[in-house]
Amino acid sequence: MLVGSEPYLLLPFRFGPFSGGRLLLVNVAGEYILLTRQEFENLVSYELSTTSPLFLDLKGKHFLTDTAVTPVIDLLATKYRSKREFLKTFTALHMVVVTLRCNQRCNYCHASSQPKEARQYDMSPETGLHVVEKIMATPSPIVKIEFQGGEPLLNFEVVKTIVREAKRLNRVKKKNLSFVLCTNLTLINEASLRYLKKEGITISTSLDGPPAIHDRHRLLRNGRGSYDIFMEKLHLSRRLLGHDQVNALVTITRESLDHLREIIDEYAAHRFHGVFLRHINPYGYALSGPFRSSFVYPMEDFVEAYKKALLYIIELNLSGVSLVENFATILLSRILTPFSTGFVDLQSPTGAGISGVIYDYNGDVYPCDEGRMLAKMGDRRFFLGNVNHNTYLEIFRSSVLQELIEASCVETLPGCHSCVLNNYCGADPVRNYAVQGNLIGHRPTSDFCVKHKEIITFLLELLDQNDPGVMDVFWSWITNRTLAEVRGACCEL
Amino acid sequence: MDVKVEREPRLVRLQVSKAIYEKEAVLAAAYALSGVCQNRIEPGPGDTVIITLTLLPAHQGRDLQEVESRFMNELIDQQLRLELERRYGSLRQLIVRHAFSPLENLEAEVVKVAGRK
Repeated sequence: MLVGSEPYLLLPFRFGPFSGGRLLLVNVAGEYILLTRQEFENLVSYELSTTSPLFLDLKGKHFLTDTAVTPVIDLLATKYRSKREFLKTFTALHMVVVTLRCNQRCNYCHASSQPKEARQYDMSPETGLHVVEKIMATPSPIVKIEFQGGEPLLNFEVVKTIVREAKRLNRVKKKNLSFVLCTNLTLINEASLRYLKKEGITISTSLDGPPAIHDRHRLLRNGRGSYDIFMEKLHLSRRLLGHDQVNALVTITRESLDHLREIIDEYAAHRFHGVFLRHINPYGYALSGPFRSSFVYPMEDFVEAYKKALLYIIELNLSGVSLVENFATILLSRILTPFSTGFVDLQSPTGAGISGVIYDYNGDVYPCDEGRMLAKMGDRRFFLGNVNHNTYLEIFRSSVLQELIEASCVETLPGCHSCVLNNYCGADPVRNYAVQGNLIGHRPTSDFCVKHKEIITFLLELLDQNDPGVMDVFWSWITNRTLAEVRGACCEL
Repeated sequence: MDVKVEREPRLVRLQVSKAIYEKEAVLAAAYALSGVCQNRIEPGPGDTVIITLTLLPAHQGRDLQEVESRFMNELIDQQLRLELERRYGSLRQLIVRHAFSPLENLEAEVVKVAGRK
């Protein structure tokens, strides 16, 4: 029952300018609508006709109501909670650096990789057991353990120790436990693959593109390129583990920007499920070496290249080549679905520590790899504790982690708090600290902000164009179905 | 008086009425342009505030007119956000409260903040 004087009640939303002189409105549940200036003025001055199609659209998307308020608030609260489901479970992703040793010396390596002989940089079995003890103490019912390096195959016995112990503890804990080995693949062999198969461990690897691009920065210690051996081992891994058990990540350098089509073609040719077009982190060892110019480039250049690449991937999908762009998929899920899409690198509050955490070879714990990398450079600002000396609560209730959470809620950050896109975005206080000198950061000069604003807006523009083919591709990505399934071809069988 | 504008080669000085634009809106609008300009905010004569936008050295080539109109658009938007937040800010807080700790009598809370059930 309405008891106020206005014909309808406005429900909370944020707004901002959009292309074509229009305004974008996003409500607390993440639903959006585009209005002309005049329509917006009519809306906020209560001059919309309650029988107009626009009014009904706004009502259907919960930007206003002219009927009972309580059920709408209840519904919006449920949607709000669903969107933030990732907060309920606490840390699910546990990255374990079992060694700093690596048989490669990639030019952009953040991890300060050590030569094969430097065994002092291996995690000991005792530390490995303490890591597992901390991991399995998480309240999260889902636990994913990612083995990283260096090259984790160089300390494979500790990988096995951790897997064995985690599975033993899980007989009581009964968590949804999974393992991923992050490897450059070049050292993998039939014996290690048989072990991975037996234990149900999947592989995450790195492929930067065709030979000339991949071999530019992904080098073996002898200075030779790693592409040929990578390909040989990729085929072996897929044969023994199964095609979909190996995923790859690409690192985009300045040289790659003009070759994103070839990189995408490479991923498609080797029938990867998806590609994640990532801008290289502009700090750490990547900045200090002779290849600095390859790794430091304007975010605007990346964004422009990304947009073209995304359109190309859509075109490929429409021509029958199935390939997902993973970053767009995360953002589109946030825009188009009511579901939670926790993504460690872009969530509010930050995923660092509360969604993902990293254990260094010596047992030191950091909220993210960038925090660990800063420590390697001499700044231990984000050190949370050590598994050999601290309890689970000491590590995960540390003042450092609390500070990170307080400094990463977009609802309160300057520049973010009124941003119309904040429902789809997130904060990265560790990056703010590394690049801008403090946890809060400065949005007007932040390339993190430029990247996400530009890419989210680009996706909204594509959605606004409402091209049936593009929409089908987007829905196939979001729902993890083939284009034919999205188009209903499955029903014709 | 809504806005009084003075232009110099590298800066623009705007005098706006505090009766129309609140401090929060002025600060938020100035913040939004702080990547392009050095901003100075000071009390003006009567019920006004003066905002001086000076192009930063890296942005000397920018069209000052464009910066000025961007600031004014931002200021109006920020002021409107404050006005709207006054209308539905308590509903936003109620939604978040109810999302994380469901309220036993939501209807009573809704009536309290919205005057309607």
